[in-house]
Amino acid sequence: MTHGESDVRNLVYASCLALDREDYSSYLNLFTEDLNYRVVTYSPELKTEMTWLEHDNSEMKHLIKMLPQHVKMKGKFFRHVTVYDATQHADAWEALSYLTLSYTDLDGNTKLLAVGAYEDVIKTERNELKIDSRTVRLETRVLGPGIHVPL
Amino acid sequence: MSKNARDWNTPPDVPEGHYVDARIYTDQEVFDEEQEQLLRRSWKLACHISEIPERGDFRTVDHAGYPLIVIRGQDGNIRTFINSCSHRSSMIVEEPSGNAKHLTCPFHLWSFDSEGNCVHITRPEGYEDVSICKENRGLREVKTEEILGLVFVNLDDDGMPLAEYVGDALETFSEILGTKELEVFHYHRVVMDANWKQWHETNMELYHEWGHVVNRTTSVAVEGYHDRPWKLYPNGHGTLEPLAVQYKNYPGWQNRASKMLPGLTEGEFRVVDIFPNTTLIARSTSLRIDTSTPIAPGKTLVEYRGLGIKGESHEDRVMRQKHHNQFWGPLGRNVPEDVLFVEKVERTNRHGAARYGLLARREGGKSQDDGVVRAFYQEWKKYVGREPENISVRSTTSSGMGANKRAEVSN
Repeated sequence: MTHGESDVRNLVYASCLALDREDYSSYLNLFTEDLNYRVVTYSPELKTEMTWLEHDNSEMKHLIKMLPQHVKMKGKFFRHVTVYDATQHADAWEALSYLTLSYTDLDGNTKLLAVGAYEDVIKTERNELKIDSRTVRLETRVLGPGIHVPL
Repeated sequence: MSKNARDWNTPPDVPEGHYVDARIYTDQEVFDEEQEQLLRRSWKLACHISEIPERGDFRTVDHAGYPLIVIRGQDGNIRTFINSCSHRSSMIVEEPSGNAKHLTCPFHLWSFDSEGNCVHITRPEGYEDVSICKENRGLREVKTEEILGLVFVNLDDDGMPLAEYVGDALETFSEILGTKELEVFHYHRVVMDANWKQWHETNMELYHEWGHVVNRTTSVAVEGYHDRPWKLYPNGHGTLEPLAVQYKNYPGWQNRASKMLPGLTEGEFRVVDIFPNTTLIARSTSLRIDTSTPIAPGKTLVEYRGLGIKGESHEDRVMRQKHHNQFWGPLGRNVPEDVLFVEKVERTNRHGAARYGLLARREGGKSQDDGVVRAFYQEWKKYVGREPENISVRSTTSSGMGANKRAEVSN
């Protein structure tokens, strides 16, 4: 089955919708077994890129499995994403998307929590498009109290 | 049995020093006195030397309401200046870090060298009649000293030397910090809706480890956890006897059995709290340093640094970052929870719904004994001159080491 640019866009959007719904089973199904998930940002204080989270598929599953046992921000996260570029290579797609993450607390107050970009490498696994690598490149460096869920 | 208002507002029936008046976290006058009498008179971590390795490298930081520039001079020495032009008080540098031979104010282009000397006044002839010249317009220098790579500043020109202030409190970190060259690889900030002291209480009272699933499983559940004594030092510092943490108890994590930082064994946890607001925590392979900057009674900036061994392999650094981030990154499993804990406390303190906070755990000075927090407030009292149990009462036993010096300081 041949996949086109619209399928790549839909995959990126599906990853956001699954996270927003806290449908972690569907979210994990969007990744290859070889997943590399990273959250990075540049530190002007240290003049270097920092890695704030780096997980493979197994580590991501553990992170999600343990979420119910953690004390975390209560409320809802909304991810607004626009896929600006999707480029096809011989064995993969590369997609660049801009991310805006908002947080609405239990009283209904909404604030902008973070902005950044998804840099995705997307591959075909068993005839399905899957995210093989996602780098969340944050512009925001103060993430509220800190966040337990994937961005 | 629940309490009525009178009972709720009655001080708890525990020994002196075993509780605090909740207004200690919310009162603006107390906050202002802390800034003036405590924070501007004690040593505060500014940065690690690896953040300014080259001549001309600088970092800007805030401390007790003052913007500061920490700079390594052309002579190799580290100095700190208030980041304020001696002309019209404009901030000179905005960037969090950089390198400069001269610091030039963008407002009227006055320039200063890395020793704080004014080296350029634009169109100086306009000052000839009023005795203003480069020679008398230097920057305000702030006392700066280094210990084990940690750069501390003290706004009090007459403050005791850093080595005397710290004493032996860093004894359990001297090998970690002093054996191999370290560098900061992680830096992040949190601006929390909480009082600065609340943050440091979480670094000292380990009873709250029950609230973290990672701490419950990897530490509190470990044999010997409750047997470790705190060691208290002069000037309000404290350390806790180490523990071999079992990281594998948390699903998906492994024990930390290799690439330990110097002097640490498998899984080893160490902590030192340097009064008033700097904490170092080592977890075998990773090291965190945090320090706070109070912004308002209910708002605090906390800076977190993670350190590794300079020049280590990419593979080792990736491992060390992972271990650091598991607990302490902004997406970690521990630090965000601490922030949420203290914000929940601030929410009830804010308008007086809560009147007292208990610091009454007594476990023979062991891990979850509140003795180290009680010692913190005894030291706090010396500077601020108020009773922590009732901030309306001026302390009669304190040395008033802050208040007595108030008039002496010229900033």
